[in-house]
Amino acid sequence: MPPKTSKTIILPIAPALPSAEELDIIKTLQLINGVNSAILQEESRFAEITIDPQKTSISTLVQTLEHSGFTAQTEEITLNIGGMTCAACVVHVENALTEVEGVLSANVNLATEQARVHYVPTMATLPALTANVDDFGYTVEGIAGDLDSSDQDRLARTSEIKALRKKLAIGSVFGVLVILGSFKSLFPWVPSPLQNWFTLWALATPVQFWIGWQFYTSAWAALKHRTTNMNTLIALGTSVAYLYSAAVTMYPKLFTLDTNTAHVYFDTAVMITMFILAGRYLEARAKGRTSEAIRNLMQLQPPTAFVLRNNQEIEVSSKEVIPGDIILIRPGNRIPVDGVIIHGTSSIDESMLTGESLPVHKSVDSPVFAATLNYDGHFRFRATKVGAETALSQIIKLVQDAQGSKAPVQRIADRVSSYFIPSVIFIALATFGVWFIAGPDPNLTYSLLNLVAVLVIACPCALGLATPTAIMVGTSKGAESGILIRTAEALELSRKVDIIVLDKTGTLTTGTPKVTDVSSNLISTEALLRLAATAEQGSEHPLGTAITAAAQDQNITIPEVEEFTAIPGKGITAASQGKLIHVGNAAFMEEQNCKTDLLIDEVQLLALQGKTPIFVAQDHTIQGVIGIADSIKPEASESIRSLQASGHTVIMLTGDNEQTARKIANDLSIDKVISGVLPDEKAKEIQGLQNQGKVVAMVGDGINDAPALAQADVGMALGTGTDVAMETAEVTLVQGDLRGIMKTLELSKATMRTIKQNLFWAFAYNTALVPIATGLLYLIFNDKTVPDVLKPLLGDFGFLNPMAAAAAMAISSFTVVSNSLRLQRRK
Amino acid sequence: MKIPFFSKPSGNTAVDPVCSMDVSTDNAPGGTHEYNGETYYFCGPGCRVAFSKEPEAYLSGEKRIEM
Repeated sequence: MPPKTSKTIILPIAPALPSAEELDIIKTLQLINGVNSAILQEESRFAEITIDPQKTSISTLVQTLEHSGFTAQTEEITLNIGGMTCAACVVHVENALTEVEGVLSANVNLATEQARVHYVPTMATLPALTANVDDFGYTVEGIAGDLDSSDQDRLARTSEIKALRKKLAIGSVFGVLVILGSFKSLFPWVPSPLQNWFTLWALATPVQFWIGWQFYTSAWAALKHRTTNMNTLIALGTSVAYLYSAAVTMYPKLFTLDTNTAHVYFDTAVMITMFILAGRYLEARAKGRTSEAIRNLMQLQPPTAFVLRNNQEIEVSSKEVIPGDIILIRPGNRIPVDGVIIHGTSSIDESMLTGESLPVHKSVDSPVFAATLNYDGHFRFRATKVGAETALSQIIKLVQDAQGSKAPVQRIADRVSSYFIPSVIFIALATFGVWFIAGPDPNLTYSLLNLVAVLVIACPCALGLATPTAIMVGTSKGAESGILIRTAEALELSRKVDIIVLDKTGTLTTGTPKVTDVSSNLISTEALLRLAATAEQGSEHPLGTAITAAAQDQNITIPEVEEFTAIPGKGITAASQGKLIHVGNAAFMEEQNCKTDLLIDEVQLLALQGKTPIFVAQDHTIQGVIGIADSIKPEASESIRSLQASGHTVIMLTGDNEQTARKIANDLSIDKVISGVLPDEKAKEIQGLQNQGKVVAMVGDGINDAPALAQADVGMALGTGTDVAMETAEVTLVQGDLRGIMKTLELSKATMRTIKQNLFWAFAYNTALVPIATGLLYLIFNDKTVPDVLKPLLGDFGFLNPMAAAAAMAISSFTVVSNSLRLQRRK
Repeated sequence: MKIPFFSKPSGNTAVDPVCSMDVSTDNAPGGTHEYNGETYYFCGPGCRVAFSKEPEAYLSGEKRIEM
């Protein structure tokens, strides 16, 4: 193929330049050898450069611009490459990628099977890269990361749950055997081989090291960071019990005092491990899945678009659209990229971006946005922003940023453990010290025995059950009330919320326009409504359906309509029973020669209330005006009052105009209103409140609420809203009932209270026995004077007995579980 | 007994005409390609595809992948 002597390159410039710099950049480009011409397009967002490819290249252009202080916008992407087997393959793939026009560089890693590509997004496209790599014999298997992370997460969780279940099943069998064999007095019918210490040792070993291995790995990891956590406590307790028991089994004489036969604590070690594991299993099952918000947002963009290229209409992948492309849109299509209309008019549903349910009228020069829905018109528009630059992508990025910035909450059980461990170790060492120095001979034996006893009894096996059982019951209780809580953190954090921020449309209001006023000086309201409904009966426009719904509500019979014409953005002309009816806005009435000045007072009143006035005219004479507005949810007032009564601040945050917002805020006595806010500003407002040290909850339903929902400490989405909102928020109010907000906060309080109670009980029994473990009672009772009633627990001499330890473990676990179940019965 | 480092891999090997690597003829990772009655073995799909497009260029030594 003969080389072209001229090539046109489109380079995106970032950021768009002020006009003073435009000349500079043109000059810089023109000075490059091989550049034939350079002009700026799209308000200097793009530079269109024609070059002689033999003299210069895209790389040179990009580099020269960067040297001169300008930025050509380039992208980096990591692709997964399949089929590479050796180092030569790396060379081939790199060649395949760099051959594609617009690619600045490609770096391929054989070990990770990935290619890092640096390219100019307006010139190189993913399909072009894929095709060329294919040509060379390899495959592009996708972009590394993003889309599949929620799949990976799901797989990881299921395998974790399965592994835990297996361990639980097997461990329980061993556990029961060990317990049966450990307490001769309780189970005299057990065959003696099982009661043999060596048997017990053998049975306890897999439980200690296979099932309990995770405690060691976690404790070690924490230790490397110089902290201790719950696992440190468990590993310590079970290891001491196990190792000591093993030593006693091998050298019983060493540990036998003539006053006391040695004990083994295999049952204690096993019980602790299994109870904690049970808690882990419950936790894994209750663990929330990562949000699929990003995936849902990405799916909003339609996969294909109809573009006009070379005067032919072709369907291309949305990813292939480049700025400057002319795109054709038909009724019902979703807009693929951001752009400006060049021909035609239509009404577009932009609720995902603005939250406004009413379609926005668009004509030539109006902007259109990716993921919005076209209602009824045909039009063509020129693409201006594609890919990562669209408004939709900005929202995605905001959500990602907000999600990434959330720090994990330290679990309360770990915090408690980290204080408890040093105390226990201190007491144990003190015990050892006291007996060694002041105790009777053999003092080493006494010291060791009591040291071990303290460490063993102090290990609270119900600790692992304290939080998960409460969380489980808490979330199921929430589900009963129509509140879906996705993460345990949300349940723990909700009670700390100071401020509740509410979106307006669709959250405080139903989102569907309703007729609020029907006024006429000439005819009855019924007649006015009948007239309007006659014209609007076929309309799918939300304002039209509001009118027909209102007529139906009042059982007004609507006559047949003979002719019907809808003019987007203006109104409807209809003919029925010999009457010519016009229904529409003020502009429409002017055009149709219907005078609106008779109703100025009514119209002004409606405007003050933020309502939309729709005029109804018969035979060119205006008969009256209908006011339409979004209706407030019936439970909204009650919910807000109860939130304020309990000391919370309620704020309304909306993209809608000030007037409409104020009216609703006043009706609901909301503390503060922030209106006219764009999606990224919503998130910033939340951040601002958080920077003041407040814990913020956000309630919303739309895509435009997603960044704010992600940024908030507790995001609450309405089940009646978009999937994206539900995925981004941690809590979903299934029926969209606002009373759920207060319920969630109360549930969180109750759950946290239960968790704290559980933690208390988990430690209580064990801690109560620590004094006994230190051997204190021996000093009091001295040889052989233990009261008979206490003998079963304390043995003959007041030392700690495995039965007492086991009893403490069992009773504390039972208490914790029953306490959690108490939560179920509240309210 | 075969000692990995010191004994040659079993079977024969051929030289990949594109990248000059030794490739096992039993199981060439990049497959094979026939040209002018000769069978050539490749280390990976890229070398095979490249060869099939311009066999003469690689056979004559005019083109080669530098490793």
